[in-house]
Amino acid sequence: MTQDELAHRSLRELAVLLRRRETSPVELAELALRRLERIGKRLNAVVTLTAERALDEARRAEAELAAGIDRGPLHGIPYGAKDLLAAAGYPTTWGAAPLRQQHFPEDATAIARLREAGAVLVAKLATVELAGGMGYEQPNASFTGPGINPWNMDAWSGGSSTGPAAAVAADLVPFALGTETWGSIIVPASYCGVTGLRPTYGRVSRFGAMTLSWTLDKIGPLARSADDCALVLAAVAGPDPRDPATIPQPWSDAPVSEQKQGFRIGVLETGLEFAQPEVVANFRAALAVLSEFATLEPIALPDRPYGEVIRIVLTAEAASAFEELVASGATRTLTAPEDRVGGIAGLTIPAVDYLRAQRIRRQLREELASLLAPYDAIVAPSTLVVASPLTSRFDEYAGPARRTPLSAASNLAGLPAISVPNGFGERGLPTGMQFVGRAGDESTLLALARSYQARTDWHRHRPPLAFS
Amino acid sequence: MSDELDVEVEQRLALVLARFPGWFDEDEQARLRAQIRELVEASRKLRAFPLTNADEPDFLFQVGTRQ
Repeated sequence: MTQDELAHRSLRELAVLLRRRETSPVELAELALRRLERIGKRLNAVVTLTAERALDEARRAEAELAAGIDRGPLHGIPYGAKDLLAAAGYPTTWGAAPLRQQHFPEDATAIARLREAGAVLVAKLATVELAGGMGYEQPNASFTGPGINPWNMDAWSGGSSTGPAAAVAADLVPFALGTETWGSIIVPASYCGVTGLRPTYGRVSRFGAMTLSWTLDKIGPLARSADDCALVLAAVAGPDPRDPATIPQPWSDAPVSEQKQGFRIGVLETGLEFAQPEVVANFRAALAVLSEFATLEPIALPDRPYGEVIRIVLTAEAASAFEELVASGATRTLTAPEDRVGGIAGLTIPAVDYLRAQRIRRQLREELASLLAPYDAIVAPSTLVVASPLTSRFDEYAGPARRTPLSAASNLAGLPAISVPNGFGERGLPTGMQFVGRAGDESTLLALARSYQARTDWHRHRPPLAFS
Repeated sequence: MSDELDVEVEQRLALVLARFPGWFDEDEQARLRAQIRELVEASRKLRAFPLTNADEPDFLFQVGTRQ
C-alpha cells in the first residue's frame, strides 16, 4: 500500500492498520500535512498547518499505542478544525483579515476532547469570515480566498465550513470539525459530496468557539461516512461546565438496527419545484433506496415565517456578539464588501423585534417536535442546487432555491441533521440528501444514514484531485 | 405600507449614520439601506404573527449557577 492510498481509508480501517502497525500516527500526520500543503492550498482550504503540534501529538500516540495504551478509534488519526475553534499555540483567525494574529490561550473543548481521544490536529481549516455572520453574498468572503470545490475548481465549496468540507472531500484529512448556525455544515457537506453531521443544539460544547449566535451555534463533524461521523461525535459530545447550554446527559453511539427500528420517514418535497432537475432525480432515486428499509410518508411543514424568525434572531445576536469588533472599525477591512457593513444593520433591530422572534420560535419548535414525533426523521434534499460558480452571487445562481424552509426550521428548533451524498448534478458536482431528526436522537439519524450508505456507494466516490 | 416601510428604513439608517459618522460612502450606504430593508421586512412579517401575553421567548432566565 502506498502512503497516498492511506489517505482514502475510513476511520475504522485506519484504526485497524494502526494497531497492526501497518502504518503509524506519525506517518499519517506527515501524509496529511503533505496533502494539505500540496492540494489543500490549491483549494484555499487551509489557514494554518499545525505541523509542530501534529507531530508532537502523533509521536505521543505512537508511543502510547506501542505501550498498549489505547484511547479508542481516533487514536493516532489526523484531523482538521474549522478556524473558528481555538487551538493553543496557533492563531485562530475566524477567517477574518483583521484577526490574523488572534490567539487564545487554550484549546476549545471540542479540540481538547479530540486530543484526549488521541486524535492529531494537523490544520486549522478555512471558514467564511466570521462564519458568514456579516451576510456575505458571494464566495470571496475570507482572507484565504473563496473556498474551492474539489469536484470542480470553478465552483464554490459551500460555506461557512469551506475548508473542512473541501479537505475531507479531497482526502486531505479523514475528518474535520465544522460549525453550523444556519446551514454551515449541511450545505458544504452536500456541495462537496461528504457526510456532515449537525448535532442537536447543546450536544457539543461551544467553549472556545467563535460565537455567531448563542442560541443557534452548533459544532459537528464532516467525514466520509455516517460511521465516521458517529466516531467523531462520540469523542466530542457531552456536558461541559464551561458551556451552560450543553445537554447534561452524555452521548454515546448506540447503533440502531433496521429490524429493531422499523424506520418511518417523513418525505418533505417543499421547494422541489425550484430544485435543479438532477437534484430532484437523485432525491427520487434515493427515496427508492430508503423504501427498502423504511416506511415513507409524505409530510409537510406548516406555513410559518421560519426564514424571517431565524434572520432576526441570528442577525440580532451576531450584531451583539460582534458589537465591539464592529465599533473598533476592524470589520471595515473584511474581504467581502458586503461584510464590511453587514454587522451594522443588525444593530438597528429593536429589542422587541428580537423578543418577538424568540417568542414565535418557541411555538415553531414545539410545533416541529409534534410533527416529528411519529417519525424517525424527515428526509429532503440537503440543497436544491449544486455548488454555485465561484464568480456568481448566490441569489443570481440559486434564486428561490437558495435556502430551504427545513434548514431554517430545524436550526431554529435545534434539531440534529445529517447530509449524505446521493449522486451528481450539473458541472459534475455532488448532490446531497439530509435527514432531520428529533432533538437528542442522533443515533437514529446515524442508523438511517448508515443503512443508506450500506446500499449505495456515493460516499465512496472521490474527485480526481484526491488522486493527484 | 411601502411608504411606512421606507420611513422606518430611513430612520434606522439615520441612527447608524449618527453612531458611525463619516464611515460610509454612497455605495456602502446603499448596501446598508438594502440590508436594513430586509430586516424591517422580516420584522413586519413577524409582527403579523399572532401572539398572546402568555407567549414567552424561547430561552430561560436562570437564577443561580449550573455546575
